[in-house]
Amino acid sequence: MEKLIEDFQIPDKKIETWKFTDLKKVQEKNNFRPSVKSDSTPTNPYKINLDISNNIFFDPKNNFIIFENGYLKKINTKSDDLEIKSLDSNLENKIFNKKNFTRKDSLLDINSAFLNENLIIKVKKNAKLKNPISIFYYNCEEEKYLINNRINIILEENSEAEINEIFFSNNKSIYWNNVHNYVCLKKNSKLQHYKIQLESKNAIHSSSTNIDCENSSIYNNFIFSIGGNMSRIEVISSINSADINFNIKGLYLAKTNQHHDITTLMQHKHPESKSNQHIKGILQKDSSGVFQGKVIVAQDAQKTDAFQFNQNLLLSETAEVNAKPELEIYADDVKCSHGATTGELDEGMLFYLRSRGLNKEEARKLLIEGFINELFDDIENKELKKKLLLTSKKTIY
Amino acid sequence: MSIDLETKKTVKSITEKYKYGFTTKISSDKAPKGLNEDIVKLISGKKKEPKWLLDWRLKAFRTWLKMKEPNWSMVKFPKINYQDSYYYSAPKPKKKLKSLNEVDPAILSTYEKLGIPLEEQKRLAGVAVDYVFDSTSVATTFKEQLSKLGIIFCSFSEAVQKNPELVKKYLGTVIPYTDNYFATLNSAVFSDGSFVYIPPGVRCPMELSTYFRINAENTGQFERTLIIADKDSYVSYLEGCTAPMRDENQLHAACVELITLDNAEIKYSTVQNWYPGDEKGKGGVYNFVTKRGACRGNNSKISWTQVETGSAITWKYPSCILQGDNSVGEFYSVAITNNFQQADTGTKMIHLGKNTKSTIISKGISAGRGQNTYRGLVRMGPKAKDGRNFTQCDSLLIGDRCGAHTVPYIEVKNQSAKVEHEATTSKISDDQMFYCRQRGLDQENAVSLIVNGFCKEVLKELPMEFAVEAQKLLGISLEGSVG
Repeated sequence: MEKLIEDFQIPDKKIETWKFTDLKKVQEKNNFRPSVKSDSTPTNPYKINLDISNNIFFDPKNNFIIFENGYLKKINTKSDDLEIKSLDSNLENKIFNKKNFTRKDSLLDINSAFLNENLIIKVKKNAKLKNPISIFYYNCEEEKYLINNRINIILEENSEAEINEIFFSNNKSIYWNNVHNYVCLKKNSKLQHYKIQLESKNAIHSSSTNIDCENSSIYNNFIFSIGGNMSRIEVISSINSADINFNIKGLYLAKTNQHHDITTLMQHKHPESKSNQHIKGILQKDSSGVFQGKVIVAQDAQKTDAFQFNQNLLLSETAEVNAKPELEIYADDVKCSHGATTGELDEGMLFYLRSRGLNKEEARKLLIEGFINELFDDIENKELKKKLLLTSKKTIY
Repeated sequence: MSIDLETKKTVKSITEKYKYGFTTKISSDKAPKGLNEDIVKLISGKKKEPKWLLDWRLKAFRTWLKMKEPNWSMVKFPKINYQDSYYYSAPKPKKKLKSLNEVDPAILSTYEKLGIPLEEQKRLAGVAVDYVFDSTSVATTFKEQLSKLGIIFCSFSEAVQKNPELVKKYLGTVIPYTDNYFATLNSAVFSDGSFVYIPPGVRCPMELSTYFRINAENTGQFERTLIIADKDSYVSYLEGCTAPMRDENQLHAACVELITLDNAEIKYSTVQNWYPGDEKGKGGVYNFVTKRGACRGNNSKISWTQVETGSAITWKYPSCILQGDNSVGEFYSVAITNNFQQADTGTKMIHLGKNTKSTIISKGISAGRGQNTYRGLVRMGPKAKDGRNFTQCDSLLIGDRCGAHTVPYIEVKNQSAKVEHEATTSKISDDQMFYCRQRGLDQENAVSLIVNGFCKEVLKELPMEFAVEAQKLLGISLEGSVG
């Protein structure tokens, strides 16, 4: 039977994990309609001549996947170790253990009901991909569509890969992008995952990345969130084994009327693993930012090392920030700590720089750059790092 | 079983509709089990309260009926049957008491067992003790000395009779009767409590103190405390709780309201040691308390210090509303959970005025199967220019069956406000234990020493007499938690 978006409860402040982000209100205002019907197979009605090479994050050497207005346009793989194809949802449940990622809201159900595309990316055993996989989500439609896509990623044993997801659009388009990722990292695998959110200023972005980690795997996530009218990016981990190294770095830059939300959940279920989160936010006029982070250390997860840090810089009197860094610990032999700070640019530092001859604007710029540079330090892809730094500078000034 | 005629008469005189008979022999003047409007009227009538207060209680009761019990905290307990509890009990009314000799010897001996002999207390640094024994104050000391300074320190019911204008002006202004489930319940059925008023420019010369006791079986305790520090005044208030062994769970839903005007300061210290239940988690007190202070005036200060060692469940958030410019809020807390105890405690610092400052230091210790949660809110309003907050929450875990959780909420709506939060979780390391043992301390003393060191920052905020008691308590509470 056909389902409608009205059949679903859009998350609002009544749900504890949505305390600071009211998606329902936005949906009521915009009334986004799913771009595909729940009871039919989606077919791409668009024939757009998009020149992707204009995008600064495009590199012809890379493997790439392109979505246009939610529909799959092109897959280009350059290695035999890499397999990208559509995934049958029945098979999906066999490969991924969804029980580790139960949700209290309806976003995944909405995604399943109106799914545009369900892809699987597989990196073969022992393969170390030379070139990154770039996934472009491009939108140019003003029809207020709700777009649902799902990307499943498997890294087999001893494999390594880098995935960049780039969300962008022409500036007029209005849509709600609802993307969910499932990642399965097998033994000794390593994934660099970049989420670059540059949606149009009227767009809504909601996404979740759910990562199942096995023995000795490494996951490095970098969230870069600057676009959209409202964005909500979730990272949920299930740390099922020992010697796992799980890192999240995140930056949100909010300009006029923007609302950015980064929500994380670390589930340490097994002893002797590490997780590290560092999220920074810069808030400008009439904008708001949210960081909600939760670390759960189960009773058996002894010798866990979990760290969580959130820093916010308020650049305007009308900016607002809400943080909720949570720890839930049931094991005693653990090293867990978290911190959160919020403030404006330090007067003393500004004074120091100005006394050295910098004007007010230069001094401000220097301090802001200093604030964000720290996050970019560990980015292994130097080319990408340069591009991200450039983009963030353009956004702030 | 006979029915207390006097009680029945009182009930009848207040309400004609009252139909229920009493089934228990009432030696301590109990109202029947259960909760309805008649009981609220009975309580109010017993205390000869004015009409506005009865109306207030009834409004609260009607609101309470529409409310749902909250379930957001990290505590688990069987559902409370609010109709299976007594809402009023008082020792038999006697003639007005002038000296301690007139106090019921049974009551005196109970205190002696608890290690707080009255005579000793009287001598101790001039502490005036307002005893709350089973919901009604039976003795108040040092009153004359205080009244010379214009300080009002009496039971709540007495204040309603003697200073109704003050009570009416401030009651419910910090915790409105619609506030939360347990505060609303308290507003409807509060039995008694303490009332303190410090007049302008007076520095209270002694620590004011109330000892709460739960005595009669199945008696929910609904204390209501109201402290007002007028301009340029200062008061330090001590609250200590002890309760005897008890098999059934007891509900304790108190309300404490503090108000400071310009340049005034209130220091409120609590040592809470209600019966925590036995090693198997049976019994113990449910301590669901609403405590809130409002810094109304400029440059005013409210400081909460608490040592929570008892109760099966502790659920309280002593908070500060910093309305006046330059006002200061402080919260120092030690919470211990052992065996099956659960604590969900923390604070709220609501910054409204300019240049307001707050400090939160919270130390949680979990042992056995205890669950300890810090839950706090720091909110900087749009007008809280240059607001400042520092929060530190540390948890210490003893044993691998317990839990320590931190749930801070930080909401900042002002650019110039600075908020810092940090939290750590650790355990007593083998090195620390080894060092202490090697110096000849046995295991329990070693744990006690380490824990006291861990809590030092908070304990030093306690008044002298309390600090000593609290240190001992920490050791006792953790007995048998190691090894």
